[in-house]
Amino acid sequence: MRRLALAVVVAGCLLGLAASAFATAALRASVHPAHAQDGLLTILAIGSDIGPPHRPGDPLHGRADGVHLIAVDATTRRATIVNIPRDASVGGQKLSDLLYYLGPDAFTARVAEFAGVRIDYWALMTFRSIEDVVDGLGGVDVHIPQPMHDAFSGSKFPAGPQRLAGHQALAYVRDRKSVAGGDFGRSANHGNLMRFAHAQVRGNVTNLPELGRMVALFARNTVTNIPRSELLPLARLALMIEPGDVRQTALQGTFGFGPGGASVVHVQPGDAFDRIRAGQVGP
Amino acid sequence: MAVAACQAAPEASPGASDRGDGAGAPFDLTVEDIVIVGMDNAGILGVAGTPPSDAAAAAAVSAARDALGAFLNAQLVDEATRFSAAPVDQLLSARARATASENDRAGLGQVDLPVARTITGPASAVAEVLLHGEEVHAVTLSFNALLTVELAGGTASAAKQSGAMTFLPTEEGWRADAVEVTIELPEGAP
Repeated sequence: MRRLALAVVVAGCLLGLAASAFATAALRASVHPAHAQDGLLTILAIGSDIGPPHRPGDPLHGRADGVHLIAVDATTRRATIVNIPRDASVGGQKLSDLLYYLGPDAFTARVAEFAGVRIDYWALMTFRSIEDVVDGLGGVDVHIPQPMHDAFSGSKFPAGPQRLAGHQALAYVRDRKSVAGGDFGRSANHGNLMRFAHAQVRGNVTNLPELGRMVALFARNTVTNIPRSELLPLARLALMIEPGDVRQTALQGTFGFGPGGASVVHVQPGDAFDRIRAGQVGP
Repeated sequence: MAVAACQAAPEASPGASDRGDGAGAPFDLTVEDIVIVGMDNAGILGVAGTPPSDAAAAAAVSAARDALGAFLNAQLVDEATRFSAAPVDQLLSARARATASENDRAGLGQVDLPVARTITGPASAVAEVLLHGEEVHAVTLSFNALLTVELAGGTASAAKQSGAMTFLPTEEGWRADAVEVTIELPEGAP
């Protein structure tokens, strides 16, 4: 019995030697299909002022507090965010009101006509969406250049870098009274939050299950016409874009009055839309 | 939300040999946990939500597990197809096939290796299902499959395929649309 045991030990050692002498090689596969469409991809991000629990009602027919054209070059992996003032005069009407009358499909078509840019998809969020997405990300790291204090929006932020929870992020994007430029400054902060959140997502997502959870977080908090089959490839594309390769530009304009006497902004788009039409996306 | 674990019934692998020592026996891929991740946006619309369907999730996981199990057996066990291109082509969606590089295919086990036989070990997975009511959007399986690979010459070595795959329901059936995996093989593989 003792001899048998010894033989087993020796055999085990020899097998071990054989195995250790035969090293293994690790080969990796990372397959992530790109979005089906080559070149330019355009999405209209719409922030509705209606939606439970803050303002019960149909968010698809609220007023558009935030309107941003996001253009992505899927080939170069660069992006541009164009902040469009909510009070922009479009066909003689205030842009924000058009969502109420038209709904997101026709609203997007009207913006596309106004900009002269094909818009592939729209994605609409509410106040609650912003809170839930930011909380789902574990907060978003932002840099605030000047102190913000506004009782109406609830903003109360010192200048400098800080991490915002969901309710704070909502206050950050709603404040137009203590930011430079008023409504233009608020619109810029919408774009800033998108860029900061994008950077946060890139840091949070390191594997396929996390990517799936992130897509689900956005799906729960967005109404969109993006096909479900495109969500994962689009999310993957977004992760491939370096934060430094995102350009944010704000349309400027002059204040005036529309046909009904409502205050509007007569937009001077400069070359913002021309660049997108020419495929010049990113910094 | 977790659903009861399920286990794949091992299927006979066409062309596989049974030498009575485990060689050629198919993987018995077990799904140890199922996590449902909801995608219902009813909360922001203020309408009644659609509860996630455990039955739909279980059926989708079963289909994805079958697809992964079939791939592992075809790629690593079946003498007729192992380490060839066919199992990779069968696994991937059309757009993933178009994207996969030679290195990706090698990572999926499409390698030129003088294999005498393979002996399967434990294989298990955890599933995450993206679900809206009964509509399944995707199933991601994070898995480990252990085996022993014996090269021509008689030297055996432990090997492993592990990582994650996201399966989607496509016109071709359940196919892997995104893959992040590693295969550890005896040195000598390219």
